[in-house]
Amino acid sequence: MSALRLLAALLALIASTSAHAHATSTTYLVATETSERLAITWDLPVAELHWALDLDADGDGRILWAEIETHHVAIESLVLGQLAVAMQNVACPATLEDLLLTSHASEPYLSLAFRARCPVSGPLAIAAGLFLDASTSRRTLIDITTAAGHFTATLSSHEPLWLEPEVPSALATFIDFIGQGTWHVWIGYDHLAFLVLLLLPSVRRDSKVGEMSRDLLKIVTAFTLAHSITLALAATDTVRLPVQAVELTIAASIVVAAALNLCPAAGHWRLPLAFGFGLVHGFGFANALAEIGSQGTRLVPVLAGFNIGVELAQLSVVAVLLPALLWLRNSSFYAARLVPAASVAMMLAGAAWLAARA
Amino acid sequence: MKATAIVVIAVLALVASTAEGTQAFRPAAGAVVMTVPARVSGDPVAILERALRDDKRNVRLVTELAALYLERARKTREARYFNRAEVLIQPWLAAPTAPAALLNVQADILQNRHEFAAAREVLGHAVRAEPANAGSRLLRATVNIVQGRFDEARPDCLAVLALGESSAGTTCLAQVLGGTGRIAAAEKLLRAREGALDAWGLGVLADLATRRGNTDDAEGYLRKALTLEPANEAIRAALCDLLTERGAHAEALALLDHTNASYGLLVRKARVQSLLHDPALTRTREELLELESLSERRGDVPHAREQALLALYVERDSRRALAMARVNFETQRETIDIRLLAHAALASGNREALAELQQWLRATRFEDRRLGS
Repeated sequence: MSALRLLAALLALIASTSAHAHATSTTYLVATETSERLAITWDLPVAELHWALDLDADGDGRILWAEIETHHVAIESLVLGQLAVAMQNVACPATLEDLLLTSHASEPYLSLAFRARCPVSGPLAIAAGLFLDASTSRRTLIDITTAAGHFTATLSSHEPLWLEPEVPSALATFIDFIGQGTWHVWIGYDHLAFLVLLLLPSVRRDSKVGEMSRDLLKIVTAFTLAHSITLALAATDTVRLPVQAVELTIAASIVVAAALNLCPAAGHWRLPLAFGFGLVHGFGFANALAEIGSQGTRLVPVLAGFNIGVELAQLSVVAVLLPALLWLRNSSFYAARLVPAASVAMMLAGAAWLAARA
Repeated sequence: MKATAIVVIAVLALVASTAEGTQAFRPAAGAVVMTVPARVSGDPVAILERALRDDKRNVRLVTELAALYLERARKTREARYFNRAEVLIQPWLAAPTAPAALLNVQADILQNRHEFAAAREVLGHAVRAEPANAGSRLLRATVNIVQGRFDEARPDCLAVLALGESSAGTTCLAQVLGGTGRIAAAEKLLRAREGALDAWGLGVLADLATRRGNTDDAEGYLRKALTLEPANEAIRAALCDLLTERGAHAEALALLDHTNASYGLLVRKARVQSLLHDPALTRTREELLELESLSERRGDVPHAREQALLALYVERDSRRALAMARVNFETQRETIDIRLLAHAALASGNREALAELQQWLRATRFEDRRLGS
């Protein structure tokens, strides 16, 4: 075949984009640190191992499991030569314990189970260079769980080594996420709108301060309790709701709360609604938290910090709003105009957000 | 044995639903894990590999083997051959005297990854090194054509003809003519040699016919091309799109019955299943999602064309479809990319995007009756 005809044949497929779903080679490495050892599972494509070692012993075009098992030693030698594990810069010798079959994206993979014993404890380092040669499209996806936390990373020929990052202390994480929680509420106009709508009717012209405070406290506590519960449920992946549905309901909650303020007779609905919609707002906070991401950090300081941040922000809003409302309530303007006007304005805003999020 | 193979593969396929893979297990000793090309005596790849082992510095052998890997990648749809070729030629690329044939292989690998600008640059070096290498010219012309740069492609197509490669040069030129307002002439040019056309030529002829509104002829050309090269995904996808648009959904689906379907074919499968209200659509979408999340974790650049197709025809998200179609249009401007942009712009009511496209169509004089141009 002439060189050009060869090329022309090749060009026949130039138009073919994403022609090859697996025009890429991916291996998967999972490492879990336990008290006694490091358990590593490395899944490698059978096709790649075949090319490296020729697994088809009888050359009949079918790779049998028995044929793979006869290559056990060769496979072990090949793979161990490309796997380096260390803790605190001291090498952890690894041994192959088992060879099993699995699959990823509809392709057969060999799953190699290793055990590594680390003489010294400390930050983990893993180099998994098998098949990460000059080919720029090969990757090793790693998934590591150590005492410090859970990490994921992607190794390539540019970056064949993973080093455990320094994880901030629980206290540092806690404080950091208090800030995150506070910030999120301050920029969260929908949460603020809902909160303000709940508060407006608390401040009545004819009530005593003590009574008002109790009413306010009940509403805010109900809201806080509810969103703390769902934030925890969602952040721990116990309950998952679709993001769009949550955002829509939050927008709807504003419309409903505003409508409620326009019907003073329905006042007894405020507490159950504060709780009920508080549950949904909690899922909203969880979505925000997920977007911030918390790789490698522990859940408790993140969740506790974020939640406290949210409460602090709410308290700050109440602290600012309350004196202003107390001052205003004695004017007839307040009950007659301010509460309904503000409620209508926020109802319209809520309706607009509802439409936008739909 | 075959039954065992089917069972093993079926079990793996059924259970495989997460990107993390299935539960690992120990199969029976006689279970067939995977089929590969049987070892044949006289296999050119094996012969070259053996020869290279004894003569590592032989650049001619390296080039031949690399080109053979690429051919095999396309014939067997085993894309890892691209990796092998890339690894093989790597040490030679740094050398200032890398022969044009080797640079052609490198450029082919690059264009396969849609790194078109890089491919053009490499081919520029190749053409300067060996102006008489028709392969470099042809490859560069084709990359330019894919990107809608017909005027830039024309001189290379003519050079290919001048260098004596009439078949490839004619198909090349037909594409340029078709893209610059002379589609009737282009069609005539190819029809004159219809009997001798390879799958590529037939694919181009089918494209021209479709754009002139002759879908029956187009279908004939594509079917013939597919018998010549059953592994050719571009042809298969084009035929599938043609059948889908005509409403022959069952036929379209039959074309897509593949194990290890590429992302592009899976998207088409999802489109047809969606039109048929086929419950198997759920599974297809899961497969697509799995491939997408894998791609994301690997840090790969997403395939904008397929993303646009998915958004427009399966997810019915016209805004996303337009966004992806626009991103895609930056790098690729084949017929399908143009139509995709037009449809996405129409579906999302974006007059500005439509106007921009029409301007480009007018400037190049690209004709496609289905676009009203």
